[in-house]
Amino acid sequence: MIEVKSLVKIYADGNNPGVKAVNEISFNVEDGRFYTLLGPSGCGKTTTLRCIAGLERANGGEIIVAGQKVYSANDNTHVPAFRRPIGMVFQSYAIWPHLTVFENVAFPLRVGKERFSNSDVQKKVKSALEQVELGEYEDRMATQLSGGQQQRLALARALVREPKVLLLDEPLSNLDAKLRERMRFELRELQRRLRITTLYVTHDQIEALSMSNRIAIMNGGEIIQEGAPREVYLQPKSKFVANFIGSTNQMAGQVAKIESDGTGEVATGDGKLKCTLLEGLTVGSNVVVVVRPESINVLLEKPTEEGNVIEGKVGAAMFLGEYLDCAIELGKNTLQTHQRYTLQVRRGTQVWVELPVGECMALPAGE
Amino acid sequence: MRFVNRCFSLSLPVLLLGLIAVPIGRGETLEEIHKKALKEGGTLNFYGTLAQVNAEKILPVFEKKFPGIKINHVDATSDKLVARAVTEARGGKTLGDVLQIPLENVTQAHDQGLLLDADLPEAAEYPAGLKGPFWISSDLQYFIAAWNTNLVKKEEEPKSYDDFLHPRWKGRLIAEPRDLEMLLAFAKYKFKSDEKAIDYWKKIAAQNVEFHKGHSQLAELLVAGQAAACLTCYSHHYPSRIKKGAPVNYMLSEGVASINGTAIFKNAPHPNTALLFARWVASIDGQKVMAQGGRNPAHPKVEPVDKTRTEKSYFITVADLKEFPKYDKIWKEIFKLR
Amino acid sequence: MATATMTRTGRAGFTFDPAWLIPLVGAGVLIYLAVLPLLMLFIGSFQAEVAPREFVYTLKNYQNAYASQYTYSTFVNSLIFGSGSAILSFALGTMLAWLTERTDTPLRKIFVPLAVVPLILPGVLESIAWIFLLSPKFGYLNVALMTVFGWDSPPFNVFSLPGMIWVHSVGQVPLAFLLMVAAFKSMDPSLEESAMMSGAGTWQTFKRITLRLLMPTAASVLLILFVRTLESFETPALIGIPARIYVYTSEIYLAFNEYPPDYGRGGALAVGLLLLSAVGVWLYTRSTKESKKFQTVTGKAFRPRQFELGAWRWAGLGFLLTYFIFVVLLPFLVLFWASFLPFFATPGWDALDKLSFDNYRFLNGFRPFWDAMQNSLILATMTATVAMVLTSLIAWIVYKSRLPGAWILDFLAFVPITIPGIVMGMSLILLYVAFPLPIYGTIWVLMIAYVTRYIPYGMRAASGSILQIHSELEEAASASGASWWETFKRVTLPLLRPGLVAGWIYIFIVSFREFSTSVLLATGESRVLSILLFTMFEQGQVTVVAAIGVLMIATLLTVVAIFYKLTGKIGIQS
Repeated sequence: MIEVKSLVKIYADGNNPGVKAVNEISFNVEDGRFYTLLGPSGCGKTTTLRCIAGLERANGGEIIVAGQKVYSANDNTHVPAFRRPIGMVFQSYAIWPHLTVFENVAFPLRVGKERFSNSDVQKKVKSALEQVELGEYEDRMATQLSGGQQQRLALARALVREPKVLLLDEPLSNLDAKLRERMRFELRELQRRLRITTLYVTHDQIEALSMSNRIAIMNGGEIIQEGAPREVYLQPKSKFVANFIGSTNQMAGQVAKIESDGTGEVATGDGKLKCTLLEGLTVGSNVVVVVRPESINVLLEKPTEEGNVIEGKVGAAMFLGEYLDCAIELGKNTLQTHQRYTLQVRRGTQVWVELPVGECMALPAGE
Repeated sequence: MRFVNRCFSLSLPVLLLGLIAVPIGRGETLEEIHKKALKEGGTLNFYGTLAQVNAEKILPVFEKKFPGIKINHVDATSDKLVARAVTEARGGKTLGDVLQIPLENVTQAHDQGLLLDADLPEAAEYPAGLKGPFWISSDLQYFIAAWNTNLVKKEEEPKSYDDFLHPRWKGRLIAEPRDLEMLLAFAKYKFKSDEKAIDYWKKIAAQNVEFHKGHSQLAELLVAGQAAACLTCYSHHYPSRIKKGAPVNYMLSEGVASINGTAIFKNAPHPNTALLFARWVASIDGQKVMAQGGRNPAHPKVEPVDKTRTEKSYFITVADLKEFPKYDKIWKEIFKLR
Repeated sequence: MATATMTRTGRAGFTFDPAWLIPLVGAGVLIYLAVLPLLMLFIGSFQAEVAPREFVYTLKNYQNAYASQYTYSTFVNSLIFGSGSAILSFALGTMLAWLTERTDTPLRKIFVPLAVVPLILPGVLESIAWIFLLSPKFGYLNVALMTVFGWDSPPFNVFSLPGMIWVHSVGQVPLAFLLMVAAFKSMDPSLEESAMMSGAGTWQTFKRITLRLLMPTAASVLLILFVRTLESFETPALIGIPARIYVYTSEIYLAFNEYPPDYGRGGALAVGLLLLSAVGVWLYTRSTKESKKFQTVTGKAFRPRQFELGAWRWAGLGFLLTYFIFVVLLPFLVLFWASFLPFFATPGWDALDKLSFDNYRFLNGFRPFWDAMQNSLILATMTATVAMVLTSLIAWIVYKSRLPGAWILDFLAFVPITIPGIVMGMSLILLYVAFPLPIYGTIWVLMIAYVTRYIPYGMRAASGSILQIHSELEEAASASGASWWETFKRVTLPLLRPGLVAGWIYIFIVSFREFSTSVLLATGESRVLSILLFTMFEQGQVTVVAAIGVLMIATLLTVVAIFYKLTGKIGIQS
């Protein structure tokens, strides 16, 4: 439904030669899918979205939306934003303060190429408002709505035209934590129900992981890794991805041995660890072993099973409600671990940590 | 040959008519000119110094008498009006139809080639001094002395200009800075000697005269009590003020008379309307209206409504105009004016 | 047809994109309005008329203008008038702003709106009112003081340089006040609080911290007041010329209005005044940029702390009361009083018998008054509307379109602020008297002059509100399928409305009272109220003039009130 090929966007201002905000990125969003561009601020994700929306004019590549070539550097095509089959929700919601709730939603129906009769407008707006549960607010001034309601209003406005593609630019970032959690869920439900192709931009990994069919992680104008949420979380292909999604422990070392099943042994300062190795690594490569805090088991007694087991002692234990944040001091490294709060430890308690082989990834140390 | 001749004899008057064009209408009645004027659009651009209060009593009478014509009165001081006409001519435009300002300024406009030679039938009744090839007098104004009756005791009221040399007037006099006519007329007609006139005004200068621009303003300042007496006021400014109860009076024993002239612009946008107005204002009828409007009519057979003519009048003649620069210089030197 | 197809497929290249045409048209309009007249003026200043309608190019005009026997006195007069007025209005404005904004002076809140009231008193009327009050022999204040203290000579003479400075300053105080209020508001109170904590008393803090912090702003405010004074013509015309105290504006006026008119000399003087004003404005913008650099926090409005004046606050109240009674109220009162008199008379019980409605009755049947009133109303309405539409488009292009070269529009729209009114009038005469467009002598030429002069004001109002609009509000419209024009019409414009309304009212007021441009351009059927006031005052109808003034102020108040009421209802709730 959305095809982006070698998209380039350069920002030039004044005498600066120009910064490549988006550097030859390509991706496909399949029909009805929820696709997320995830990355830190300044990574080019919003720029990419705005290029697709037509609010920015790209400098190279091609964009196809719903089978229509909306941008192409080759033959100089640029369909203006208002002619693209899209709906968009902005970070600030961009609710027009001079219009009522109804008129905000009716706006796309009144200005587009396709004109609707008054009764059609009524019907469509009402149904869009129903969908976001704002039916009873249609006569209010838009500014009288609460933050969450404005957010839903923006969504209704984006959907009322029945666009082929829905673009969402960090729509939840202005909501408080509780509301954000609920909206995450609602948004995902709505998308499933309507089966509308959605491109979502966020810097929040939880939003990305919980809502998406696919995630593209961006940095410095490039897509670093693309895949299903589970895949990018559990099998980061680079230190950046590992760091950016979730918190992670890193232990430096060298590849000591490579097995045929893709695993191998890495020599770290705290002994040898069995890990899943990223393709392309050779014996002797400098690597980091990354392991998620919640993957690590802390044991009060030395386990009998074979595996990555290292002895250490508790450095600090912090009770965070949902879990116990427990730092374990090994010889060289300190590991951050999340344990059940039933674990009875104190500073200095001697413990053994178990690192499941399948959840230790060895990644190239560079970069 | 005969045909050509006939053509020629026919076309010559037409041609001349076209060239000299507008001043014809000599034999025509005002009604006939009115009809022609209406075809010109019904507007008259009147460049005149007539104060608004006078104009309000004069111009509407004309508009009523000749329905369909609206007067656009461009009013300003006389030098501003001439300057404006010159500016417009500089841009290749003539916007004014009729000019009605002091004769001195009328001749300035004529020097710039802005005025039409017009021979009006009404001029026949005017004495030679009150008409010229390109102008006819619309009214006269008398420079007189006036005083504030609150500030001047009955027994100290001036009887002639010579009285102002008395020390009691020191620091109590106002005048208009541009009225060199006073010096000229005194030199030519009162003292008949430049020296005596200069001597007189030098003594006046020693009385510390305060100068203010604009004769109307002088009158108003006098009413308000800014000074005890005004040396160069216009007589027609006073009757109306006295009627309203203003504490002023004026001296009619002697004064300087100067001419206001009416002239028609060359290439006026509404030539017939201009002619109509010029002829009407010079007619007895028009002059009576001028008198009722508070002006001092120039027509020998029309008397002013109020007493505004002086017993002894020193007339500034057309010939005197040439000597203006000379007396202007002396006047400014006497009073150290700019 | 071709265009439609191209837009649909969206082929750029040579696509006819209306968004590109608009800035070009905008630049064209601005050049026509602001640059062309100045070009005419510049050319005119090098021309001399050797015979009627024959011109040669020469430098003689500049010699006449700047090397004559009057050059020095005009220069000194202008300098004293300009700096005197700047300092006096700055001092009064700062004092008012400080007392009302930063101290605990009693009743200070009511004085904030009152301080701005003189804005509706046209400069011509301000001068006339003060002539009534401070004329040496009959001025009410002089007479009153002489009676009370038994003095022989009047303490004040309005027909003097100090008189001019006073009258002009009083009219300019609201501007100084507004600028200084803004300065006080953007000041970080913790800087003063830390001085207090270091043991400095109220006065010490004010002197050592507040004043020092204000220094950069104060310098730029003084500068702008100086430039505005040099450009003004009301006081120089009504007080300066009768008193034969000439400044640059009156020299230019006289060069044009005395026989023989000397455009060359006038032009040369005007070019000089223009340059002077341009330098002033340049320094001002530079210094405000500079002061922004030192501003502790920009953009934020603080809740400033109040100085506790102790017993001195009664002195503060005394100052405020004195100021408002003598400076704001008295001019209105004297005009009101005089409008019922048959002629100007010294005050006294006998004057009471003379009071009547005669002047108003006279005006009722006085056609020139109604014509002028109609002209002024039409002009002010049209000017405000045209200027605001034009500037909101320009501001939108400059701040929103991100088109290259938009800054040129910004610059062009700023140019008119350097053009003194009288210079504008002169340039437009030179331009339109020869221009094929037949608008010379009509109110249209006045409208062009007003619109041009007030474009910078419109820009300020429009750009201020445009910058406040989050660009996503417009992008949302675009993403909803609205073209650029529909976006502008349905989203941008309605959001701009409150700012535009404020700009509209301001331009309406300044157009309605405009004098220094009109004095050269408005005559006959294009006569406006301020010019009718001036000519009738020159013709000595001073009490009728007072009545016109009263009606003029009443009209202004009514229109502003009506407009506020109307737009208040359709304005934005926020």
